Amino acid sequence: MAKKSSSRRYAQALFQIGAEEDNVKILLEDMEKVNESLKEEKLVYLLDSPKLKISEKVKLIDDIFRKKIDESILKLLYVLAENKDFKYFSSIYNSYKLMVYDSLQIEIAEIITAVKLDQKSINNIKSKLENSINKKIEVSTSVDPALIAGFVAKIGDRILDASAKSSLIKMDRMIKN
Amino acid sequence: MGSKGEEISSVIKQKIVEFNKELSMVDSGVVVEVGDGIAQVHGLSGVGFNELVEFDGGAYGMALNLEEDGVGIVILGDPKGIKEGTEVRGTGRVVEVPVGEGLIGRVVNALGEPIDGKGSVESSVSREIELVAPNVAIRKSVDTPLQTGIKSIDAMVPVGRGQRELIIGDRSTGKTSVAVDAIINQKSEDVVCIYVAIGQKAGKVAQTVGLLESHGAMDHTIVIAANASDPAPMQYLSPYSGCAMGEYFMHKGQDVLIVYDDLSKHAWAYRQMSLLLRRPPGREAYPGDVFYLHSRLLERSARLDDEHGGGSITALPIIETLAGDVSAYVPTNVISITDGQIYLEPELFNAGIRPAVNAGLSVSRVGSSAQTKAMKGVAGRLRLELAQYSELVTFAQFGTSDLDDATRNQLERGQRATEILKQVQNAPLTLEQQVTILFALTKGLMDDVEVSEIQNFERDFHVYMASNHSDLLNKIADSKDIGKDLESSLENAINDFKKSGFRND
Repeated sequence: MAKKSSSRRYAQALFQIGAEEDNVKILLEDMEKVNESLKEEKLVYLLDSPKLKISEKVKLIDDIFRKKIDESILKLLYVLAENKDFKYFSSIYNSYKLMVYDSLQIEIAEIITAVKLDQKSINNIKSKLENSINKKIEVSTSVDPALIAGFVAKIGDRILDASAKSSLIKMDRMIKN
Repeated sequence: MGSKGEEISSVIKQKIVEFNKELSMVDSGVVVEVGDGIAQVHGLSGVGFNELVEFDGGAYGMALNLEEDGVGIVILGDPKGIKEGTEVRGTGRVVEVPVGEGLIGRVVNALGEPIDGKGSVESSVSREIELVAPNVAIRKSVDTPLQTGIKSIDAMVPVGRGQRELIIGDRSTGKTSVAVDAIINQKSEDVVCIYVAIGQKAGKVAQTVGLLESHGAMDHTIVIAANASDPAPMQYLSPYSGCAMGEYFMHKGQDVLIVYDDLSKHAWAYRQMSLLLRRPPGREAYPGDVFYLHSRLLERSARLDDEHGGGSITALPIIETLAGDVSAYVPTNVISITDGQIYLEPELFNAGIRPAVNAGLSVSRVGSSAQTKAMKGVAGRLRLELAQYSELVTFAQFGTSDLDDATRNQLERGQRATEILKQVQNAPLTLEQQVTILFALTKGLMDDVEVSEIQNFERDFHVYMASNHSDLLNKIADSKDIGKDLESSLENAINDFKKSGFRND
């Protein structure tokens, strides 16, 4: 739990810097780049290692990222190196992404269906959902045959369950009562 | 069999036709940690306090700790199948139980589900279990007695309808018996009784239910059982469920008697939950809000004014003390919340004085205004006499030979009063029976009866009065008062009885 809240603090700080310099979106793209490179677990391990001196870590970060990313993010990486908080980077990235989307009135949604849908139906569902919550939606999709039919839409913390599976469960419960 | 099968399938068909699917956006989250009946859930950002949540797989939980990054949830029922990553959904409802007449005569758990194997509970109404107590504007002061049928209580610590009277004492001092006797005595009254068993052995609950059944008291009683084997959250919820069921009847204008047996175990269950939810422990490791835990429950007992139906909930909470320590945390809390207490003492109990009510430490702060005139007239001096007697009794241990007459009389009277206040279990007496025997005592009409013969005297006296002077008894029952005329005819009746029926040798 401590991990979640501290990564949000980093994200908040970065977001404020981005807002002051009006480059929130650029920062997001750069964060994505860094997040990709940090998928290499050994690198994170090395950057969090207490055996390496700060100066060496700074040099390492410079070698990898300098010129490729914004100065603010580079400085964030220095701070993370000093605090040995690189292991939280992906959740910092996620929190930051949510904050940016929130400020742009965009929600991230996942649509799970029983069978693979064509783009047209997905767009159809998407526009319906957008209308119902009055926000833009960025959609990702996945397939889960266990749903039998229908779809489940997860929008942020909320969920819209229109699957045959949940209806059957509900019906089962009602009959048993 | 064929027709029955068809019947069932037609019922199912009906239900399927009626089934309507509602689509709505619900909150969801994911379990990150689960153990000890508590689940830490990430997400559920829109969930409300005390909201009922549903785990994937069917188990229910209640959201209690709403934190920045997640929610602490207590699992109601079987936690099997809940693991890290399990999806949790909000229901938008707070915990509620079925209420209504269909529950009477049933044994249910804290969620109102039947556990007596008598089929489903018929109820169309449900009620939130956590509700704010009735406010001042719709309340009325206590003015009607609730007869427990126990002489020592009805005479010395009378309970009124809408009162909260604590029953406190060590283990095995007869706390439950007093409460159960009070329930049995409501058979002829129009009072719905609710017995909430919290954290008791299942065997003991079964015994109590059997006792109520054998006295025909289950016909007006609901039993809510959260046994020792049930999870702590169920034990925590059960008194609130019971109260919600009682409120239904109160708002309909009926009188309700509710027994919480016992609130010490309720506090333990809440302590367990709170510690597991990582709320900071305070005195005796109870959380900071353990006072509010009981005050909000007992405040829901009330007497409503006539505009609101005039119904009432009378509460008899029970507290078990350890080695007579009434100054422990929970006992002092509940003593200060309630309108008086009945203090049961192990020394009296072991000396054969049962119910073991300590006359000096037991009080009723509002009940005397609800006492009938008849009872007030005969029992007014009883408390004082008993208190003086218990003071003298230690003194008199050194021998009574050189005491003056007044003191000796006081001792004699005290001994007889103590004998009269003894009463066997499950044998409640009516108001008129209590009044007549206490009349005989306080008028000094029993001073010439041997102390060892008092109990026989009383037994024969009730039989004699019922067969020879039923008109007198009826008059007392109707007018609830003893006037001058009644007083003299009662005195004559007692003297007649002493001459004819009872032989004092």
